[in-house]
Amino acid sequence: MTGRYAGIVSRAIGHAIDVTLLAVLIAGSSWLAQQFLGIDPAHCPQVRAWWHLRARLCWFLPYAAPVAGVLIPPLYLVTFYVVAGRTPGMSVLGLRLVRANGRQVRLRQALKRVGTFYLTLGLGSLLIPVTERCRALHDIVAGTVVVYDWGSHAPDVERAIALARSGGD
Amino acid sequence: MRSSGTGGPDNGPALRRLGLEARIADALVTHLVESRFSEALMEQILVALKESRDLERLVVHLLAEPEVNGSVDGMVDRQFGRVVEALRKSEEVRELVREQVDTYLQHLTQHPEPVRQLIQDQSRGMVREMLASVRAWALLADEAVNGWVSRLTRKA
Repeated sequence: MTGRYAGIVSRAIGHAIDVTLLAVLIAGSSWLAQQFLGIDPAHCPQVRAWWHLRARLCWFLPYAAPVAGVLIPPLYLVTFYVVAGRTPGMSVLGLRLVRANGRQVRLRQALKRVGTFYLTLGLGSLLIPVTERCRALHDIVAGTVVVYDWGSHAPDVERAIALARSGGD
Repeated sequence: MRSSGTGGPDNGPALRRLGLEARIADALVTHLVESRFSEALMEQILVALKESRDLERLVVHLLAEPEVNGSVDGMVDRQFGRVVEALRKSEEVRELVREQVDTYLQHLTQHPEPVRQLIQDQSRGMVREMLASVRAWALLADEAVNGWVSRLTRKA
């Protein structure tokens, strides 16, 4: 089973976990910053001098979360693809991103993949069930594939699959 | 297993400890009686059977009858229940069990590593199992979607 191309459901669940994680991270950081600096964006003081940094931050903070929401996810994806070959969400589902020849992904492929994903708004994923190696458009552009890689958990997963196929008997 | 019913949720630690001791005592007494009593009974039956081959055949024949077997079982159960009840009421047995429980609890307090290890292993096992079932269900869903799409494209 390990090494087979991953389908759309596993990949969608993995992506949903990553999105949730990022949302919690960004919203949590914004909230923590407000609490830590004692800033209330609803009642920001006027900036009267250039050194009134807290007042400046207060005006900036409502825009910080959306900006972070745009900048951090691609950075997160590229970093995890290059460093670990999988994001935390993919790790939960036991998925790994590799090059079409099975080697580890490099920065170039990661950038291409993430760039195409955002340009196509992720709609390229609809190709996964219809392409031969379960490749989305961003995989084809970047020359990558997503495979199942359960590592040391493989026997447990195979047992669970056999159990599910037999109807839980 | 019966509970002695000592102590409610609002009672103090001492009462809760008494309740725990009573439950452990019950468990130990039942185990003791089950193993010892059944062993002794079997030994007696085997000795009796060895003395007479006719008796052995008779017993085997009788026990083959469902109603006889049922009444023998019922009789043994009643006797067994009486012995357990008598032992439960025995203050000597309770004292003995209490001493054993104290020693055991003291040992656990002094050497908690195996229990901690056990809890850690169990937690790890639960996480592994949960991950395995999530991955298995996702793979099966992938296969279902792929199958559905390939059927659809073949038709088209």
